[in-house]
Amino acid sequence: MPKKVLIIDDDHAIIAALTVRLRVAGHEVIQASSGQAGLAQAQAGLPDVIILDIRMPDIDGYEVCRQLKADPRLAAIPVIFVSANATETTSQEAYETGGAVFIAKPYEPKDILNAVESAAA
Amino acid sequence: MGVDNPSLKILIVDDNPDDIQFYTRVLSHDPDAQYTLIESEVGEDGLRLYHEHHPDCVLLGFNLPDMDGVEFMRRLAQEGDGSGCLPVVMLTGQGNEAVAVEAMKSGVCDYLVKGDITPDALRRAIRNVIEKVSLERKNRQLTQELQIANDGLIRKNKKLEELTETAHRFVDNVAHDFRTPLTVIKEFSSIISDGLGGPVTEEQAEYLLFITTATRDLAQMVDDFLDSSKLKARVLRIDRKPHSVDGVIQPIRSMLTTRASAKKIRVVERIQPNLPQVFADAEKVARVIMNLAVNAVKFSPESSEIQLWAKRRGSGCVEIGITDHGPGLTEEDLAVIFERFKQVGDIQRASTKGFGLGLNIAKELVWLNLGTVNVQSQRGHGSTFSFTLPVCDQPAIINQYFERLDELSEPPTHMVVLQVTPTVPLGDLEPLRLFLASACYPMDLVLKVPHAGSILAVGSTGEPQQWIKRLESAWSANKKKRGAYDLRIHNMAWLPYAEIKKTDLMLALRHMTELRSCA
Repeated sequence: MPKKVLIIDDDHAIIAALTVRLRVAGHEVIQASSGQAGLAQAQAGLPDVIILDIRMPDIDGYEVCRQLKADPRLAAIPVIFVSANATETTSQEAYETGGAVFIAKPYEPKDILNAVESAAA
Repeated sequence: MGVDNPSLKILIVDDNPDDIQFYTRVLSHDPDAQYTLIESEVGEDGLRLYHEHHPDCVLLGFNLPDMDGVEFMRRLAQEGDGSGCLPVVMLTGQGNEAVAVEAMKSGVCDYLVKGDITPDALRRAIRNVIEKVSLERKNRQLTQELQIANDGLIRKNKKLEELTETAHRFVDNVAHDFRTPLTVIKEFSSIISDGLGGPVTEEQAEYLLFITTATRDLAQMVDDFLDSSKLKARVLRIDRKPHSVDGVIQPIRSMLTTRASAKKIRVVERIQPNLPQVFADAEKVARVIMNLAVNAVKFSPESSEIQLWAKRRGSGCVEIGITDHGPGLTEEDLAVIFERFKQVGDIQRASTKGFGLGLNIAKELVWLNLGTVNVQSQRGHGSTFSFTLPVCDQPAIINQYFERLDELSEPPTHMVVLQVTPTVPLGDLEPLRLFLASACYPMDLVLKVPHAGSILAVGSTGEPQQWIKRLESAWSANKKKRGAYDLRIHNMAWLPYAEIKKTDLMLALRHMTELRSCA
């Protein structure tokens, strides 16, 4: 089922690559290149799924996720963390802040698409 | 030493001419030493002479015209360099205990009652005082030197900790900064080769596959590099818990097939049905399988087959392995293959990539997962790399755990066993288990205590205090970050390691149960 996916990542090339994959699979994509912009986009666009980077210059992905989970309108949106900082503690923290899935970069596109498709609010 | 000094400087502070005469006579007839005597009848002058001449010993009368002996000592200590014991023998005509106690409290080294003094007693008292003061000075100097050395060590240790922390952060940052552009390169080459940017010729698709494969290799090397440096520093976190074998393989299945397909190699899975759950860190085990598989693919001929298999091994283990149809290994290769930065020799070198870390990391990760690696290979007949993992059964796990500790070059002398419970029922103990797993060192063990609503942590560090301290600092960091739940160290046992081994491998668990009943 086509979904509206919000990608929050400070790397434009990553946003572009994810966008291509998701659009080809039939999903609608909205984008944000910082944590703050991501929160604003989530409030304005009410996506079905959010793909979230962790290391970002303004506020990091954990904080974005915490704020999403604290907002009753956004709390139910599944968050897929996609991070190049794949250590034992980062994935643990990603789940603890309310992330549904943690995928390490470099990712397999199949894993991203599976996660988006199986993510249920 | 002062007693061997042929010339000792003695200050006599006394207002009784008979006594002064007696001291002078006794000392001038001493065959073992020569004395220079300085005399004063009053305290104030005596203090001045003390500072002027720095005598080896003072003979101090208790009753002086201007002050008593205790006041003299107080002033001496006050005006002195604070170096502690003063070389003073107090002499008094009043042989009562109260005066003696007061004199000793004031800091004199010895106390004699005038009427009872023999020449020998006086000489002995002087010598003892000089020796005592000299020893005390030496002692103080040594203590100071020790303190300085200790301070230096503490500073160096702190610096070292900071450096280690910086190095780890650096490695993490490097890995992060490598992986982001790697993702972009890999993703866009794959997007183009998938035809998402327009039609691609067969030739272009082949070139793009080179890029994708090379990028994957580079990503793998970054992972190896990261794991290897953490393994070396013994800071790699191990989060062992129950997993099905399929649950461990699932996340890497597509990556494995993709890598193999680049050489048209088929991956055949032979997983024995109804395997028990294993107790392991799934992510680390997946890395092991990946490293072994990547090696197998690397050395396998095109269009061949590699097998990924798993089977029960004895009652306590599951064995997982990769079998290839590559060139196999020589005996010399087999001897060194798991060493850091080693790659197998001669003809194979041409086709190998990487730092030569893959197998070493695989071995270390298996070791930390309480298993062992095995390799069977013969030149010309392919290779089988396999490893064991303990099944998820507490006696089996503890058994393997102790085997690991026995293999250490310096086995622990003691073990600390903690039973930790959340202060409020969490429903699920997972957050607490996760916290403990992240606070523990790789060689520590975290187990759920069945039906006890708590977690058992077994550590093999030298000092229980260190263990608790580490837990507490991790705890305060945890609270700051998450602030959710609180824990209580329910029970703690500090057990001699040898005893645990000799008696029963389940002693740790049983011990906790016993402690619980008396807590």
